Amino acid sequence: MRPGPRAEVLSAYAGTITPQTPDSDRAITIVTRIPARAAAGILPVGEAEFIADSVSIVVPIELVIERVRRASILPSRPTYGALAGQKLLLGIEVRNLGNSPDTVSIVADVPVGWSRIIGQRVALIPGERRVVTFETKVPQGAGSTAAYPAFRALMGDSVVALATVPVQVEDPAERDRPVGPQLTVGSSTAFGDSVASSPAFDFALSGAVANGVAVIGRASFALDEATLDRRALARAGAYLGGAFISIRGPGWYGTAGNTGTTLSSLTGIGAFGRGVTGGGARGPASMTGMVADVPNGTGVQAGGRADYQIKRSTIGVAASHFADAGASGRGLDAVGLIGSTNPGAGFRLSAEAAWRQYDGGSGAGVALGVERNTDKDLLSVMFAHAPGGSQAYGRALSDVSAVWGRRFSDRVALQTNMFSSVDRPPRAGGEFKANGWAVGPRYAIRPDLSAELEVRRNSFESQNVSGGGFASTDMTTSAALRKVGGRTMWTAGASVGSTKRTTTLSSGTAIDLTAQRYGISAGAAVILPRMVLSGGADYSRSGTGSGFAPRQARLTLGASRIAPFSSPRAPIFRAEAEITSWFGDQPSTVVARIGTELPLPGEFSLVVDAERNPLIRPAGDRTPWIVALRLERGFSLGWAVHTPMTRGTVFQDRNGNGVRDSDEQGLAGVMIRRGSQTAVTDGSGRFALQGTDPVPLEVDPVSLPAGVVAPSMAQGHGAQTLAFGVVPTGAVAVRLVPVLDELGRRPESPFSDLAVLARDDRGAEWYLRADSTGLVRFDALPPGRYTFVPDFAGTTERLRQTGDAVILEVKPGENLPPLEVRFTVRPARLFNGGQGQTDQGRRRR
Amino acid sequence: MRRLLLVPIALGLAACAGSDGPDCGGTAPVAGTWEYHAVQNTPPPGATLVGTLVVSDVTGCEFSGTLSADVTPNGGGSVFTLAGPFFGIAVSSSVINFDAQLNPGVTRTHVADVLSDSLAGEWIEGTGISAPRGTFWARRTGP
Repeated sequence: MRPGPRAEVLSAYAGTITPQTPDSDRAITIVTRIPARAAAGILPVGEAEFIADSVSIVVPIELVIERVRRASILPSRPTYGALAGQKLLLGIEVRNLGNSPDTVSIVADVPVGWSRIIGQRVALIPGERRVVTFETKVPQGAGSTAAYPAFRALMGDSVVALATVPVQVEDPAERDRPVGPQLTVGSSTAFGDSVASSPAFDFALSGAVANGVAVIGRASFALDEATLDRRALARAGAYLGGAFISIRGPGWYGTAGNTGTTLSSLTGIGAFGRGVTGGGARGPASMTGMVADVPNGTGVQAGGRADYQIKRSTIGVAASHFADAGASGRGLDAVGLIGSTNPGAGFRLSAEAAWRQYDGGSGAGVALGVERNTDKDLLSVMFAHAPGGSQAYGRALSDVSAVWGRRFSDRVALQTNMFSSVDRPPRAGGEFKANGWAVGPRYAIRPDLSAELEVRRNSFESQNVSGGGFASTDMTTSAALRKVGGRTMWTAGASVGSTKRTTTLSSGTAIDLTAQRYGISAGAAVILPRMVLSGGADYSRSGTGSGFAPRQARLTLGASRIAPFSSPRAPIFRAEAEITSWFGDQPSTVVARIGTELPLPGEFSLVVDAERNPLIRPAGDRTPWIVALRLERGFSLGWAVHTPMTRGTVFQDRNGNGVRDSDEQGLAGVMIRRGSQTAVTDGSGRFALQGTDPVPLEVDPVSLPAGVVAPSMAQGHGAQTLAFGVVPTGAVAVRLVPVLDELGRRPESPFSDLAVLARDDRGAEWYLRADSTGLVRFDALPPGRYTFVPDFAGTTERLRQTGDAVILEVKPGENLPPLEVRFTVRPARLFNGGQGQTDQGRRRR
Repeated sequence: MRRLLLVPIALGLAACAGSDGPDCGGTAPVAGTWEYHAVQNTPPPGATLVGTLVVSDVTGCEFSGTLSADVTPNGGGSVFTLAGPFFGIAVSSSVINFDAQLNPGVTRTHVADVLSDSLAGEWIEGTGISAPRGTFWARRTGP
């Protein structure tokens, strides 16, 4: 057996075939290794020579390598920055990962309003990669937002690769607009075939009233409260709640009007009324307080809390006088001491003690908590004993809850929780108990596909003062498959369980009802370029004679963000329908809803929402369509707050001296970050950020193009012009050149099995494989002196470098012609087959 | 195998021990249209509900219909409407239970005493340490 130059034969090279019956067949096995990335086509393994006496027959051994069509696409930058109204160039690196020359077609889907990207076709030989540039334009008025154009690579009709390119869009119009309070006035009405709602007017105020001080407020009134269709008007976006105005400044806030607060677990939760709340922080001290009337004038809510931070701990005091003799019937006078500390390792411990006085009694309350939040663990254990319970602004008389979640690996996670509470309203009497637990493991089958299981048990028991009561216990096991990836999402699940209800009459007689229940459900959503489509279906069944819905089936279909026109000022539509059947136990219902948001000239906009809902108006024979209209317009109030701007540039510091020289150009599409603010550089490398916060600015390295590094990620601050010099790295191409050795032999290994190592003077190494033409491209080598060494570990052929070491000084932004690194075949070593040779007759090159 | 079959039967007998099945006196006394009022006490700040309860089908002790109610949050905020079907049972001539499905997958369980043309009782939605619950009453306004 004589192996070919591109194949390695693993079986013995020689042997003797014992005589057989004439004309009989004999199978001979030859074991060979197929080189990685072997090209499609015929691969000569070698020649087998059969010798009998003086007759010799040579048979060529060949393998047919099937064609593999694969490609990858990657954005040239991890994230692109773009300015609204300006052109955007997106670079996509395409690589042929198959084993034959191929053509890759790349098509793109852009967000609504962006100019269409024209698809391109690229012909690549195996291993070759190329950066293809696509042009689009972000529309004016797009707003500062994140967008995700998507690219698909096709070979023939098959999609072989997908890539989504994150683009951070900055709208200069928003940045440069003077900030000032904006008043939005809306007028809404609703009508159907037999009903008409009173018109309602609502007002929203928002924006900055001074540098660092922002206001937000809402109010509404109706011409005739009696005929107001609140539901219909709310569908169109009308605000019909209580009036309030809030102002927030650096370290302080205040709200007047409809307001509410929670001081602590024991000194009052969920106090609300019409009045004022406010608070502030100065250094380690902070305080908050509230004074309000209950809406119907049946009580006063007054309370305050002060905290002081000492290193990793906080102590505080709170006092409250909360009274609401109205709908909720609650009352509390309390004073409490509160503390918390962060001892480290992700733990937070909290404790509170308070004296609580309420209608019907008084007592000392205590609350304790342990929380831990790390990358893998979530733990929370809370206990509270609040005399007076929910009728004294507490959660319950006593309650304990625990949550524990742990991510065991990238695939396996577990969530568990339990709770138990008892409440005895002192005035109303009776008792309410609730407890339950749940265990829910989750397994990620793939990054985008997970299986979830949950076992849950919940029960509650209510006893009234007359001795009657009601208890319910549910036990449910559910399982679901969920896929969230790319532009689609779907889920499918099933559940089975039972419910037991016990009603105890005043006479003491208990009536038990138990029902088995099960259900199945499925849902899906897909994000299309001009709309989001969603749908779902579910079916559930309960035991008959139990009072539960015996059977129910529901189908939902919806389309939202329907944008038939590309202009950002064009209308957007939505439509949804829900069909429910109870299989004759109740009339089936079809709930339908359609709507649109229509921008109008002169800063007006119109919202139209129409709904047909037989569940809302079930009394009539015919279900009407109820149409709600809302017309709104925004007004800038009289003054504008001109926020000082921080401006600067990002430039290519080609000589690395940290100063922008006359021949050094700005760099577009780079993101500058300061806290939560983001700016994007324009075509000249300029950027601007509102405000002069004393927070360092950073060049976000993910937005830098390949071949550029930012030597310093943090720079100065203040209202000044800043210059960020990013240093272009050097691009070096190395070409591997095979040469003949002294015996006239030429290396025959495919280039894709070879690599090149670049090592700088400090010992740092960069390693890259050659493409199929023998070219190795180091796109971004920091400036320095490098030695380039070929690496032959990927081939079985014995090779060596010829000539002197290749050394090069890489300078910023320099692109030199390819270096040549020559290599040839190592001298042959012959083995004599003596002691220690176990592979008899096998030769090595 | 026989032993496996006996276990659930034994459990069922144990569950029924000391209790009676529903005896509503023939027909659940709830047919008609009711004006519905409810208060959500927990979690604070709660809400006030006003709406309509329509019992459209009564079969023996079981009944069903639809409930719709405008919800006014006590802490301010915009009014919204809850609506959906309900299914229930009269466990005696004067006590009813019903579950209203006001949001997909979430039921609000009601328990009430029936006194002629009025209902008064409690409700709870789901379970949990902060499960919404409160009281309700209703007045019959039509057949």
